[in-house]
Amino acid sequence: MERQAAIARHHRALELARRAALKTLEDVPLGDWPEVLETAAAMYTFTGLAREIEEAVEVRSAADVPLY
Amino acid sequence: MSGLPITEAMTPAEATHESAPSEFVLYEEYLGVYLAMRPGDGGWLIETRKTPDGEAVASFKRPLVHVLEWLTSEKAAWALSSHRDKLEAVRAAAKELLRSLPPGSFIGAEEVGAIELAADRMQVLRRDLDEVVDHEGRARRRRRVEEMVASGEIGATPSSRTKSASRASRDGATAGRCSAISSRRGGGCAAPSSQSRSAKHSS
Repeated sequence: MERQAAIARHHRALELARRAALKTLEDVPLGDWPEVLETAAAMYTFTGLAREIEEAVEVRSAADVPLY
Repeated sequence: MSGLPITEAMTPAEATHESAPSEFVLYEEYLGVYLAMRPGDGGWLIETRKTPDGEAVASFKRPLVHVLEWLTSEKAAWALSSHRDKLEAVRAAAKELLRSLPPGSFIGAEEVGAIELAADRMQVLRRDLDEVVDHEGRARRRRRVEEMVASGEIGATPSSRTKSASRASRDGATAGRCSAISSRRGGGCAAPSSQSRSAKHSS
């Protein structure tokens, strides 16, 4: 249950990161984008969280499989 | 094709008042055709053409993630587009992909990889764009100084010491940004591709 709650929290964080990345991509006026590094950083934050969730789900799946 | 090549007198501030390109055209070397790409619902609409502005030979739809991988690949020959168009194309593709993801849900490795590639590519393209704008700006300033010298307004051009000092300062700032990114990602700073470097000269 604890693990499920942790993954649920992670999903919420992922959604916030997705919105942040999307906002930085949408907000900047066309052709004037000195903040591209910040935008990229927001995108990396999002993908980093996504990878962590993927790993957590894989670990849980592996734990569920009985070892013979 | 509504490509807006970076030419003199175009500064980032001026560029903000321009409209977004409605489509992005690139040349696909393997197929030997031009591809006109437009963002659409759930995917990008793509037309194949024999010439950049010619009639569509075929049209089809590709998933967002595939388009983003396409746009960020080294194979895409961006002979027709300016750096600004390339940057906007990658941004448009990344934006559509992020928007299409179900909120808070599991995201596949393919999408994650595509978004990371887009972030990498955007940084390289922005740096290339900065270099083009900077080059044009310096050329304008140089011409202005020469005019002022010729008209007798000023007596001499700026010293080489001043130029090299500002160049060193600028390079230092770039290196700092690069190291910040590489430390955050745990990797090296992406180098501009030879393809984008060559395209810069054609822009």
